Amino acid sequence: MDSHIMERIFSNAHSLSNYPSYHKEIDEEMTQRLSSVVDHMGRISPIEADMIDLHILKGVPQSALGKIFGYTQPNIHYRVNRAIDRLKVLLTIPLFSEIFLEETLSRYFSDKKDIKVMVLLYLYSSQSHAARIIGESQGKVRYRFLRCLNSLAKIEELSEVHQALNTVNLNLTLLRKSEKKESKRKVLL
Amino acid sequence: MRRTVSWVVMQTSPKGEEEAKLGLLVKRLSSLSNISAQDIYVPILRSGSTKATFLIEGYIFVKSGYPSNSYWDLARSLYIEKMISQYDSVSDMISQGTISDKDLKEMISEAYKLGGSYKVGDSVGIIEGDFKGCSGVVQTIIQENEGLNGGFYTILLTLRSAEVIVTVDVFSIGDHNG
Repeated sequence: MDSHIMERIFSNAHSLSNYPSYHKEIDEEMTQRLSSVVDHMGRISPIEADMIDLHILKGVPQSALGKIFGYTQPNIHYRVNRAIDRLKVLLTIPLFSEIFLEETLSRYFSDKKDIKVMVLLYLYSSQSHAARIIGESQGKVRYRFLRCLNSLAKIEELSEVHQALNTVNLNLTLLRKSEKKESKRKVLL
Repeated sequence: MRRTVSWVVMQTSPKGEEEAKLGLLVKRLSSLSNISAQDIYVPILRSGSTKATFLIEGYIFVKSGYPSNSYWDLARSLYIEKMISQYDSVSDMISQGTISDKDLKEMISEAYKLGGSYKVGDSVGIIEGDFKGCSGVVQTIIQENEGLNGGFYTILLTLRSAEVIVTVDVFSIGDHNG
């Protein structure tokens, strides 16, 4: 089937018509919103960031992205949507540095493993990754995390941290990062 | 003695223009005569019904050296309005009012210069095509068919996860800031 027809079938909510194009004049509010999105691109994988940048911000067709990344057009459509969902959630989670989080949590929590679990889940959104690092089962890590979340909810000073970790907890599957290290592709079109 | 290459000039009809925009004119004209498709030059930068861009609008050039009836076959077709070059009874060929190969190439080269000139290493922005809005660096300059088919550039786009080389024509790129 013609790739443009496929694109039309699969593109809907995130079609270009719903987004400001790279060349369209945009107002100050939209500029700030776009700038905020660009600032957070580092929180998703480089491939997903490229897909959003090229397709949503610059208007590169999904079929062209398929040639770059080696996926079919429907697959690109799915990945772009997933990246947008991920970015939307990440935009609601405040940015904390690892050191800040560790120091802040250590003022209220005494168990070092509990602190490590919260920090690792904030950074990687992966219980299995956290389990590997601290040397415990995934179930134990989950238990620690939920227990800590309950405690955090009662500490008013840490409401922002609680909100961030609670959002992570609610979106673990969506936010989980691939641990596979991808080398930079070289593509000749 | 080596014969100098020259080109017979023809004016295209509206139907001819339409076929040129679709990128079909050379094929149509070649099938109407015994003239090889390689010897018919339609000065069009890019075809496609909506984005067709002519370098020289309204004219086509056919290499000389074929029997005059081959040119008349084309001139009588619905794709050609009239033949600008004329029959020469002395040589029994269409040889009057033709354009030399050198002049045609110079003319085309001048037309291509309107698209700008870039050198390897220049930072450019892509202003047309799939990668419109992207910026990159010129890697190579390609001249096809001694420049008749235009100047093309290969541009390196450095993304977060990939390095992509795209080939674009001279009219599809602009200075880095547009």
